[in-house]
Amino acid sequence: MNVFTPGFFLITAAVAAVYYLVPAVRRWYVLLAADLLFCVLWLRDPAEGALLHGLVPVLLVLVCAAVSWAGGLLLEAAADRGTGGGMRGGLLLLFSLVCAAPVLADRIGGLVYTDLLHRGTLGIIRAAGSMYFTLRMISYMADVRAGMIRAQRNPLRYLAYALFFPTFLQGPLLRYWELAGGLYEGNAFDRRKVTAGLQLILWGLFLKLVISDRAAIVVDTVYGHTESFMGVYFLLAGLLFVLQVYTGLLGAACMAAGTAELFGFRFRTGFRQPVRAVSVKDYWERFNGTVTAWISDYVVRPMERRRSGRQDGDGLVTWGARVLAATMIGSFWYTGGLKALFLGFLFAFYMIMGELTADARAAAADAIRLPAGSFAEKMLARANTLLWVTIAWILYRAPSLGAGFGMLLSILRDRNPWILFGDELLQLGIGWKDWNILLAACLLLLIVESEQPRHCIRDRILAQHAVVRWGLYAAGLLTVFLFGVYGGAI
Amino acid sequence: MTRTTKKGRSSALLRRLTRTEGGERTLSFLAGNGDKLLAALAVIIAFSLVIRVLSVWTVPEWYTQERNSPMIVYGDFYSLDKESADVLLLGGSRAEAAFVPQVLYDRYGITSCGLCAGDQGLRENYYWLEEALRFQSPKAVVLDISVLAGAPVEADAARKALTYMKWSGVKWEAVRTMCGDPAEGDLASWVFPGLWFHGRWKSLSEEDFRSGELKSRRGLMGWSPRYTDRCGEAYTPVTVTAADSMTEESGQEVWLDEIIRLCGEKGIHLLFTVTPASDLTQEQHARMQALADDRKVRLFDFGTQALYARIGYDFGADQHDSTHANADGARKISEYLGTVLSEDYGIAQRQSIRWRDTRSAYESSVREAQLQHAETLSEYIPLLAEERYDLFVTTNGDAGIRLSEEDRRLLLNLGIKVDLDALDGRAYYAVPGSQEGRFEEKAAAETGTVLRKEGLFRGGRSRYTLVSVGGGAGDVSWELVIDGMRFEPAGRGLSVVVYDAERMTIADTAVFAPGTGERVR
Repeated sequence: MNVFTPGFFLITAAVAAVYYLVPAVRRWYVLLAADLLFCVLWLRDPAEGALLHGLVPVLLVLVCAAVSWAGGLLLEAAADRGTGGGMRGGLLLLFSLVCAAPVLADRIGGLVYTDLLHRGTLGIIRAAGSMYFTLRMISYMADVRAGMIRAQRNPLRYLAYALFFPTFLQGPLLRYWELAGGLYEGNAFDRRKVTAGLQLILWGLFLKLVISDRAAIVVDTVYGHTESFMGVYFLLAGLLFVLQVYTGLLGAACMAAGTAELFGFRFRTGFRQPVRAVSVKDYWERFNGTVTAWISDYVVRPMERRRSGRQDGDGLVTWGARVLAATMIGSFWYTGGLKALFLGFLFAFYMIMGELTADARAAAADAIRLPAGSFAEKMLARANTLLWVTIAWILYRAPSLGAGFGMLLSILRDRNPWILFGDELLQLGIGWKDWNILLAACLLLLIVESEQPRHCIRDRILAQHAVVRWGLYAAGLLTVFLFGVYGGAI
Repeated sequence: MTRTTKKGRSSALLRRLTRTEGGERTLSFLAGNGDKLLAALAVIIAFSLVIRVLSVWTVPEWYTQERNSPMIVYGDFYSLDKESADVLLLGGSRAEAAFVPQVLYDRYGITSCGLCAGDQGLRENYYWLEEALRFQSPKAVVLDISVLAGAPVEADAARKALTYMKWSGVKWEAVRTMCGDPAEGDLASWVFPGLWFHGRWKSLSEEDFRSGELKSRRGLMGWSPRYTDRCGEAYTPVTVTAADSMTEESGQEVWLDEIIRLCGEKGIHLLFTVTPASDLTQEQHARMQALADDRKVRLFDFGTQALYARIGYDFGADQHDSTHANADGARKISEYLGTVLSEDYGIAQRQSIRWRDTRSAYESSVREAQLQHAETLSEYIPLLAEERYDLFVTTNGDAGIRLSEEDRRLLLNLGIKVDLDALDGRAYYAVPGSQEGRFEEKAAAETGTVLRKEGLFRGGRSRYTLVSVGGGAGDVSWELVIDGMRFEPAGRGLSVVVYDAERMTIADTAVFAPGTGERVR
């Protein structure tokens, strides 16, 4: 079961009903029960016959949560006793490493076993290695160490935070102080919030099932048979992969944020229209921003603080090294593997090159009399960013880095633009009806992304007359139901 | 001491609960938000209803035999009176093409019903047998086990086989079994089948919009005739020896054993068959024989030398393709099975209005199968007298055909009034008429001209455009387009295109040579 299955919706609806029926101060018990239930449903390995064997990943997660809870208490006690910062930093590092052990084992194991030795890794570790869950625990301990929050003494309460099910699998990444108030005091029923949450869930389903999974069919067809395609096919599949990744992740984040909103929690998804990014650095910050912010808060800034005395001396090199560290760690932390490391390296390279060529680009813009901040300048910058980002994603999605470079070479060398006008596109796994749906859905996405920064679309819908509102909901539901990519093929 | 009643205990529990702080809050919440809760409940119910309705709408409804229609096959089964079928016929598409219940009834008085569907695996066959036993008490079950040699059953085929089963403990059990494999969908997709079939909006057809009208249509008791073509392939029947047997298992043997167990428990005779097919190897034949021998079940392998010769099978003429029997082949196989069932298993004759009523439909199907084998116009015309046919008769070049008096009479009976003998190379067409009379006819006044015609037929549901060409009309050639499907001329002469309005497809096309009236193709 994942968050896009009917089972998830049914259980969530039941949990929400019970949540609002019990007294406010006890509502976190309901969430904790749901957390544990989903933890079992998501992490249990159904291939394991024996129940206990199947539950090993769940036990691993509980152990990590217990370690981070104890770590929080110890770090607070150390601070109260006046223990030195270095000692507390060491303790934080130790506890963080223990909590991150499953993720690290999976990512490093994947690098060593899959990429270098070409063997499989342990499924148990993979299942227990939820990136968001791990980062949530580390941020909690870091915040306790910094004195920003008090450690939670009740282990069950802490568990309700650590396993908070709406964001357990796919983020957004929540800090303790963002969640604790509503979690422990209990959120009151707010019809507008619940409706807005349902809207967000519907939008998430649309992004994932109608756009991302449809684009994935073409992407898989092309990348699965690279020997049968060339030139524009690779460019098209690359662009569609950028779309697939973005709408897939954003869809999942919308689902998570929407589900949280059903329980009265309102969070940002962490995605700020990366298609509007005017530089790769901007794209990196807009793309899954809660993780980027986490890396910035807990990795980059501590490094800056430690190096503040020497920063003037080492300038761009030090900054570049920090960017390289942040992007490579971030990318590797996401999926692991050599290609993830390379992707991080490439993004760092882009950002550094962007910094180095900033003056030259500004001079070039002046030379062609392109005013800074003008529409044309922004569009040019966005197109430029999309180009470099697409190159990076093509290399990442290719079967191997060598094959990826071969695909890029083919895009430059093999000219076959006629495929965009003939019937060749209909041989890529989807027919003309699906292409039309994909185009229409992308257009809708573009409109929503353009409007969202100016007006909150959900609030605008809520302000409409009931007939309009329900008409929109019915249309949305019907669109996802009919045009989503799921189910059978008859 | 008075005994506390159940109602009293419940009331006491409720009082205790409401005295707690949480209970009071809950009650006060319920009292204060009753209207909201009701609204939420209404939304949930409305939502479920919408999904349910959408589910019902999106489930495929196939009513023509052209698509191995489960709606007809299973619909026929559910329409039977209880305890009326003595024999059940199971298997995949090879069985649905080869087993003819009408032959069993007409020749041997055996009432039988087929529950076969394309790519139906042994698991689906097992559950259909279980389902059938809720309504029928058959004396024998004939199971075609060729499926053991085929590829694993695809999720979509399994879905097609079981979606149309009525909900009961049997279907629930079948669904639970299938839900073990994520590729076959989850429980929700069975309760709300639209979650599985929702993508069908891309292939909606006339049947989907006429389902209410077509629902009453009955079939041929599970026989799905293959009308067109004789495959013409050469085939050498096999001689099976134990040494040839393969040991590889297909994974379906467990369901074979379940079927054997179920038949054993109910005291039902079980027979296995294998129909002739050129994709089965000697080893596969031997393996199926070994499987049957191990389980002490009689196997009738019509692909083996002895049985093939005994039923007088001719692969090239009796097969529709390399794996499915055509109407002639199906009759031969069914006649033999009828002999075995009546003589070896003592299945007695029965009289049944239900089986008698399907006779005319069966005979009509046989006549349709004969269309393609008629060699002259004289043989062809009598086969056209079916209510369900819409005919397009046109000329392509010289079409003066010498007709006998009997041919003229038959054509006149069909509704063709123009004397085809007297055309002398003039363009001519006869198309389905919109008013009374079967045809709208027109003959050109002189040779070397072209007649063009476009219009609607089947009550406006289908559209055609037609070009009829007389002798000496230059490069223009005969052409007929029906619902976007183009028919090219196969030669000069009189062209006849037969459209089957029930199956909503072209049943046959033929061109008869000028003068002789012999079939060009």
